[in-house]
Amino acid sequence: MDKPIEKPYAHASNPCRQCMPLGASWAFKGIESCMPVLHGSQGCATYIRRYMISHFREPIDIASSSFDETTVIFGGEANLEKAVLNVHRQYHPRVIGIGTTCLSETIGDDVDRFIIRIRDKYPELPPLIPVSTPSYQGTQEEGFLRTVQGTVKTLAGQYQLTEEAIPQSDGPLLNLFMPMITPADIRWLKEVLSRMKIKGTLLPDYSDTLDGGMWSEFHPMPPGGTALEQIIAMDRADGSLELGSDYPAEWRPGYYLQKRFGVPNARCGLPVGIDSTDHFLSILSEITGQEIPGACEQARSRLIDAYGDAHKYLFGKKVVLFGDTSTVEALYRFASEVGLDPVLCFTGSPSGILEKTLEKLPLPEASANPPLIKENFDFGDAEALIEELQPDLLIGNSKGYKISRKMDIPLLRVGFPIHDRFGASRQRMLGYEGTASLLDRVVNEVMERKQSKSTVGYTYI
Amino acid sequence: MTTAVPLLKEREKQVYEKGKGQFEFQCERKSVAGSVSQRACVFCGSRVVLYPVADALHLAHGSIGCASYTWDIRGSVSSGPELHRLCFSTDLREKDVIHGGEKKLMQALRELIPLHKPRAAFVYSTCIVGVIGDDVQAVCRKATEELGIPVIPVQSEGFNGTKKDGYRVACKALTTLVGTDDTTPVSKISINILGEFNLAGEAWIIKEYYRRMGVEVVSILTGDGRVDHIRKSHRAALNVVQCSGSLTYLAEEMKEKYGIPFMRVSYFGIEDVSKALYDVAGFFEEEDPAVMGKAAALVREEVAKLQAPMKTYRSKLAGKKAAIYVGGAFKAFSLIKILRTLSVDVVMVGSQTGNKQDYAQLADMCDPGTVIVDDSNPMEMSRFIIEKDVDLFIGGVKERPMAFKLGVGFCDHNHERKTALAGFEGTLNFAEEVASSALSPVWRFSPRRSDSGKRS
Ligand code: SF4
Ligand code: SF4
Repeated sequence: MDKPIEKPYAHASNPCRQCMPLGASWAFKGIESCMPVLHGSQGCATYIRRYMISHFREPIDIASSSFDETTVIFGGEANLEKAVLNVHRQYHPRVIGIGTTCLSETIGDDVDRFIIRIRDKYPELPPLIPVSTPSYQGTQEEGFLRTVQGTVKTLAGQYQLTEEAIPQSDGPLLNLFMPMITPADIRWLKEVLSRMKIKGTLLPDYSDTLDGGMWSEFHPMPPGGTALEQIIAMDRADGSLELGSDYPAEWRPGYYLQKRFGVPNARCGLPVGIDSTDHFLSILSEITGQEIPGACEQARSRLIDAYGDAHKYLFGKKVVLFGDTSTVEALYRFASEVGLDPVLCFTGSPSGILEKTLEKLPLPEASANPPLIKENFDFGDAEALIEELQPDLLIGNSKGYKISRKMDIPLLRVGFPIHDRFGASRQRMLGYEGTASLLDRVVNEVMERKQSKSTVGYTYI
Repeated sequence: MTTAVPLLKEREKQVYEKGKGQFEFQCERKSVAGSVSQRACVFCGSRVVLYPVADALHLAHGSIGCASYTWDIRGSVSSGPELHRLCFSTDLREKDVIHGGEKKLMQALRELIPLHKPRAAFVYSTCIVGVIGDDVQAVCRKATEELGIPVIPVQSEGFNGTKKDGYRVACKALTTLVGTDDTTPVSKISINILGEFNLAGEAWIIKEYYRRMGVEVVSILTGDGRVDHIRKSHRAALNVVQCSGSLTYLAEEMKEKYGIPFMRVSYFGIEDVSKALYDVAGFFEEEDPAVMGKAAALVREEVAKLQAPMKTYRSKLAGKKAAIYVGGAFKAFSLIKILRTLSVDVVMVGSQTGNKQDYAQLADMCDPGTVIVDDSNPMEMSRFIIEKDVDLFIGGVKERPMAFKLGVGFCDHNHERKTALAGFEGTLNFAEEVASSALSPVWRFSPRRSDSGKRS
């Protein structure tokens, strides 16, 4: 990774980011029967649970190794061992994911070594997946990525599979890796794969675990998620596809599988908008040799039609886009495609990838100037800029609400977290249908604004 | 259907079912590693107490997450400045962890204080600060001198105890402000309201009662809090402390230092609010006998207003079963009483931080068969929800999805609530909240309740 982008001053105000272990916990929730343990003090785990619960509105259990004063002096090995054993005893998970926190990293705990010793002592334990996620090295986005990669490194090709567990399929086997998207969008991806008769292993797959039905009985861990055997078998796939921004190769699970096991790997941005979805489907078809289903063509054609119907409402409207890198990149491509003018794009992540990616893209049709692209950026930083830019619409997570309210600019909630609107998990933006749903929301936001601000009170807009 | 959920062995004595065996309860223990405790950390406790001080700068010294997760999470409202609703962090990064964060902290204070012009600043140490060895006290002293406002260290490293210890640390921080204004005149019949955080404007409701009784409220600690009010709080005649103790330490400290007596009260439920007002009136009986008369009139008037609507709720809710899990045990006492007035049975009750005495009192109050838990976790609580066939869960945001998943109504009685539940009108709001969740028709579809969850 290049040198992270530095801030010109010492404080952060109203951050546009959370911390790495949140991303880790989220990714672990996409593995079947997996229990995350955060190695550090109790507070981090509790806060992260609370934060995620307010977004997903689902039970989210995250255990902690519960450091205290003495742990800080003597190291956290005994606590980790106890935590793992207690989780094993109470939850019977098939996988235990362990994320470190700022505290355990700062005192210098060597979790990898601890785990080797714990495994030796208790061979009955399920696979343990360690990931290093100290927040002073990145945001939830980096934590999520590291965890997906860490999971693949720990499991793929590393355990014996029984004859029945080895994936059998008439069609091609594909590993599909995703950044933080909504459960509904994961469901769409699965549908596409099934329509194309591709046997896919999606990782992480929290489409049920973080958006499931009511229970008739108690479940220690919510049903759903990518099965352990599927991850172990990832080295046998015909190919991998990584969705999301162009993260450095060394962070990426698909890249690892390619280097280690020779599984061919491809990457493309999130399929939002016509071009990106076209690109996604053609890559999918290329690596698997399967045809793009006809239903996609109809959805595409309807979306183009909707673009036509919508264009006048949107052309030249100034938008500010913010959130994690992959989401902002996808929104930017969509915005350019429908004639919006993205004047400012920012992320809390300090990775430098957003800027590198967006700079290479052509200037949007409706833009007079290139957009401002900011990383390691918070709402405190954004406020003055937004005041100056006077955009028509903000698109991003709920934390933009303070600015939206203060400056009376509408905020369309997309991404994470969404703490002040309903149905975050069911939001869609991937694929032609998902894009249509995003388009509807954007247009309606603009329309509503126009209607409520007009003195006439138009009833046709 | 019940799925057997094993209790963690270490926790066996933190769970008790009334009527089954001896009451040998253990509490005030550290959370067990690997148990999904609902507790947060010392930092969290300090934030609860100090957060509502609206004209102070609250700076979390440490990594970004601790600040991010506490940004505007509480419903404490202010009638004026709203500095507390912004989120500030020193945002320590890798190089700070290696080289120390003192310089960055000083720099952050130099940036933020002139910009936001707070009346005081609280600097919260979070976990890593306790490890990298920053001398936060020294930085704060220097900043106080240089920047002209009190810059107060709050030693709230998360690992240094429980949430309760965070209360103590926060009280310690408050003591540095208390007593620094000795000139503003204060009535003889005056109180401080302690442990009231003005969630959804609750402090205003309570303050209005006292106004009607002719009692001056010198300072509310810390709801709708102002630095200047805290400074003169030592001049009040009495400290009235709400709930199980977030501010008890301060009350004790003020008793010792300024000789101000304190009493514990609760403002939840008709019974307890009335008692609180009578107790305060009783305290001032000698000074001014009229206060008692006014209190009595007030209670009579307010209770009369509640009679009819409460009766309606009672008839609708009779026989419903509730589970309670709250931060402090004192609140649980009040809730049990309110639910009784609503004819709701309490079948499980617990708290994150109760002490032995609290639990003994709970065991005393409860009906046989009621389960009592300390520092519980979702798995345990789910087990009791099913076993006891609960209709309604009263707790905080973290418990909500668990209740809903099992098809059980839920009522938020935590620091994040947006509806006022204190005072007489709060009692009515509470009844309405309980009814609107427990009586909702949606639970009919819950697969646990009936077969209608499955399509035929
Ligand atoms: S790092 Fe420490 S202070 Fe911060 S949330 Fe975690 S436990 Fe609390
Ligand atoms: S200490 Fe680190 S891991 Fe814990 S909440 Fe704070 S930023 Fe996140």
